[in-house]
Amino acid sequence: MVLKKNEITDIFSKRHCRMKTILTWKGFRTIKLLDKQAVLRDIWNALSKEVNEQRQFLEAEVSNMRQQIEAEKEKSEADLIVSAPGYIIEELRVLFKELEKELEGQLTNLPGGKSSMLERIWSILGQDFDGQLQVVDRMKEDSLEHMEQLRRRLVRMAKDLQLSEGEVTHLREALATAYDGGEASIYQSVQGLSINEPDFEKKRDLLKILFEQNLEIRKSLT
Amino acid sequence: MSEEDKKKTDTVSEDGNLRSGVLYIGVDLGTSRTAVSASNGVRESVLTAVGYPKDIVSRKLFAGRNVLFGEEAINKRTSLNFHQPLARGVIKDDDVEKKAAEDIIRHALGVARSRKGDLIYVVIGAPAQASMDNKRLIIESVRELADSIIICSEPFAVAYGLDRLDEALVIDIGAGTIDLCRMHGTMPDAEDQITLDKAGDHIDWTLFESIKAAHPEAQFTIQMIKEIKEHFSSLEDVIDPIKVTLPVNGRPTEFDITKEMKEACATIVKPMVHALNRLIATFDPEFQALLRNNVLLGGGGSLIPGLDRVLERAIDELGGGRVKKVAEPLYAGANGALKIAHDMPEEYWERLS
Repeated sequence: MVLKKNEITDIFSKRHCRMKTILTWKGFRTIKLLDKQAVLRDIWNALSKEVNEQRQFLEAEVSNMRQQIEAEKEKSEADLIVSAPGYIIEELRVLFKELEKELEGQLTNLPGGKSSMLERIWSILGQDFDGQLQVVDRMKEDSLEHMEQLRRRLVRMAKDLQLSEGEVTHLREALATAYDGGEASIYQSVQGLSINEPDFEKKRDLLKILFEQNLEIRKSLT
Repeated sequence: MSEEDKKKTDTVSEDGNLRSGVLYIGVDLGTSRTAVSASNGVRESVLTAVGYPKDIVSRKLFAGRNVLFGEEAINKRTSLNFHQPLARGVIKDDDVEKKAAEDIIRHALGVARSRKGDLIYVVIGAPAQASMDNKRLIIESVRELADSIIICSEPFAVAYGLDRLDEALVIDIGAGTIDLCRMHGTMPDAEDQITLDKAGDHIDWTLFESIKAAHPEAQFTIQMIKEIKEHFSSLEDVIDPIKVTLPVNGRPTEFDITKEMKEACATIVKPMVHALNRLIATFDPEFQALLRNNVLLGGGGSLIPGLDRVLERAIDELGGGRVKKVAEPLYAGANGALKIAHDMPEEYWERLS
């Protein structure tokens, strides 16, 4: 006897139901009849869940890093404004580039492709950082220009001073020629009787005599 | 270096600076002006005049001050018991004059601005022929103010300061006296020094009298004449006419006093030349030429233009010579006294304290 298609299906269905009943009765879990599409769908769902978790984690990481970068930037700017040594700025540039590359890699490797939001955040962050560095660069240039101006003024003042000194010397000489000051005075700076002083012996003897004369006066007072 | 030499130089520390904690002061106690030079760089001069308010009213006028000094005392002298304790070159042995001299010296030492705790060592240049009594009076006046005091002859201080200790003739022209001192390598004694009492003040009074005689209608005081002399004095052969404005019955009037000024200034020359000649003539003939060529003019009077040339002409009779003005005539005595103070060994200062 040749069974028709629907008859065959019914048989399978009845048997399936019987087996299902038996298995359930026996305490086995219900076995679902799964097709390939359903299996693939389940796998996709599980993976998607995992990827979403990972993405959230990475987004949190990026956010955290952004905060750290902001904090670091503020700190660096404060330091740079005070001293702004070129090598620190360059070091920050290099670090920022490395960080950018690393995050770029992580974002690219994410399942499902790059996050446009993250890319946007990163882009803004990068622009801001570059902008700040440019500000610092300008400040540095301004400072250097100011220093250069001060240096030039110093050179000019030194020249003026030299000229003034020359004029003063010239005036002094002119005055000295016009007026004979007489015997040169040696009193401006006296440093005591030195053995190198002219007439040392004579002066020493004179001072001794003067002392003795004063001692006599003192004795007469007492 | 001998032990004694070490003592001589021990007022100077090893690094060449003056011993710290000691203020050395050189004082030229002049009849008209007292000059002070100190080792802290202070160099001042004050008029040797002091005044005490006559009564409570005048004391109130001077904001309760009991004593006024210098120019202020001279300007306000009508309200003061006014004193110039060294007017004649010496301090009178009188309590009031001694007190005035003490106050003047106190004031003069005050301008040296010593730091608290500093030892004050003072060398005072006194007139060449000041008596022993007068030197004692000066020391007594300073005793309370200084830790150690040395008195020396004023011309000697000038010569010492200028390093002219050999064959030099120092003429110190002050207001009250002119001191001439012959230096020949030793401490000058009485024979080496001559003091003349016709000095700056004498010129003032001569000018005063001659203007009074020539222009009896003019009204002026001796202080006004002193100021005129300080501005216009001259012994130059050719000078511009000296025209001054003096009041006549309250109206400012111009007078030409050229002749009176030259004559008044010339009054000090003759006695000076006489004394100069005497000191040269009585000196060792072998060294007289050296002495003649080494005449130094100091003191305020040396500022009279032409005085050096007049003196040079005068000593021409003795074979000629050279008269030089010192560079800082008003401070020559004080600076020399300061140099003596510095050079004096510490041991000597201690023994005189």
